Amino acid sequence: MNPIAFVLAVLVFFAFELGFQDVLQLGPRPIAPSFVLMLAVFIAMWAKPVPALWAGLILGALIDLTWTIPRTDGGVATILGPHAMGYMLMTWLVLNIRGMVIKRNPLTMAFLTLIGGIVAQIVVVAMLTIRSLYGDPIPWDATAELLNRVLSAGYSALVAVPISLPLFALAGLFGFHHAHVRRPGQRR
Amino acid sequence: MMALVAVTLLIIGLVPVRYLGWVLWVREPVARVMTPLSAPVLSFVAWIAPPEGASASSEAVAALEQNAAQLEQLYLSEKFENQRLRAQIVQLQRGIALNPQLPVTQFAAPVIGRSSNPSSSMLEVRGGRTRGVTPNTVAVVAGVQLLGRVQRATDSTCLVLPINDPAAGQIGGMIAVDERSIDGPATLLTPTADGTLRGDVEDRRNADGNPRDTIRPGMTVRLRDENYWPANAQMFVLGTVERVETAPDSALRKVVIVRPTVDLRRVSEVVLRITDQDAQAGGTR
Repeated sequence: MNPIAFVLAVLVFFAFELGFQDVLQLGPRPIAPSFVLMLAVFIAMWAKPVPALWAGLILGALIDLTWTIPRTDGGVATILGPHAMGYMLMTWLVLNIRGMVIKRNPLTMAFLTLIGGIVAQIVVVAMLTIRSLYGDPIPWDATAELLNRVLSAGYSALVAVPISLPLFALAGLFGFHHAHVRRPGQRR
Repeated sequence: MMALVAVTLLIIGLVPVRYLGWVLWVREPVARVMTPLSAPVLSFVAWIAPPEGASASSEAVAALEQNAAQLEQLYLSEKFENQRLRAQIVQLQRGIALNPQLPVTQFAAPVIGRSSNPSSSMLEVRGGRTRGVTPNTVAVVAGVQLLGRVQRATDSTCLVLPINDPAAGQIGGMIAVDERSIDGPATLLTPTADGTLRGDVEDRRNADGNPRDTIRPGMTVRLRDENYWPANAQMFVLGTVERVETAPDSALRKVVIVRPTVDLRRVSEVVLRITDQDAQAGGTR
């Protein structure tokens, strides 16, 4: 995987994540698509296993580091780990099932975003719920969070369909050589 | 190598938050890189989909409306301050030492970032310790709408928690039954998941036993919470009454649902109000 393309994609997708989240939010509940999740799924679909796992870990860690949680006793907290572990497990899942799907299909990207997103969010909710069990001063409603996050994964899957088109077109820039499109009439 | 990093992150992810203060220092350089990136996208979004509360009328009319609202807030704030000072005089006469009243300085600061997680509405604002911002500094928007309080300040930025974030806790308010009066029924509002604030209304009765106040949708609700908010924030607008309901457990009690006058998640600029009292007066319920 081309590291420069990865860094540029991270910057662009984080800008989308932080910038479009509010306007794309569905109603008053915090249900919004995650562009970083889509990027992580895309990389997991096409990259070699080890770089893909590192990419998942880095993207998850960056999500953790840009998530500030207000503490119930005043101040804020940033917890490094939940998204990093969630995205890593999601990448592992996609790596294991990508051989069984038609990668070039935008619906595949949507499907993998849905199940990968659900798995990642279950890990996040599980880790933060464990924390709340031993009385961490963080406001946490596991049921509501899980529901909102699963719905957000579904929303991300819908948005992944149009997003997959430019991503597939740019797959060559990432160094995913096996991702080049075979043009009509081109010999096998 | 990867297994080691993963195990380390798993452990860090489960360590109690009181041991994770250092992560905030790691976060700062990351936020310094990531948050400015979203600025062009936020500007684009604000252009194509202006937040609710942004008036469709001309800029001059909007400026006049804001001016009028500010003057009204100033009037009520001074009236409240007058009442407070009278109470202080009474207390001083009883020999209780009080903090000197210091002037408020305020400056506009742009919102440069938001949390990556939609469940948190924390805003990152350009304005930090070097400009006098401390935890508990009050932030307002659109002239008179109370936005929230600073939770953490670095040298150059601060994190503001909006009043309607479920983590913000309860906030005391006063329903302005008469727009020029500071003597309205009290309400203790709790943030809900849909961005509104909900709370029971003080049941005030006349001598004949009839209800003294009639609460109607559209009435302004102002901050009146001296124990948990600094004096300079009192009488700022919390929102307007959206609905009035009957309490589920008592037909005699009323419950109000209050919505801030602007979408607090989507503000692009805030005004930070600095006093030396901020740090002393803060706290959480």
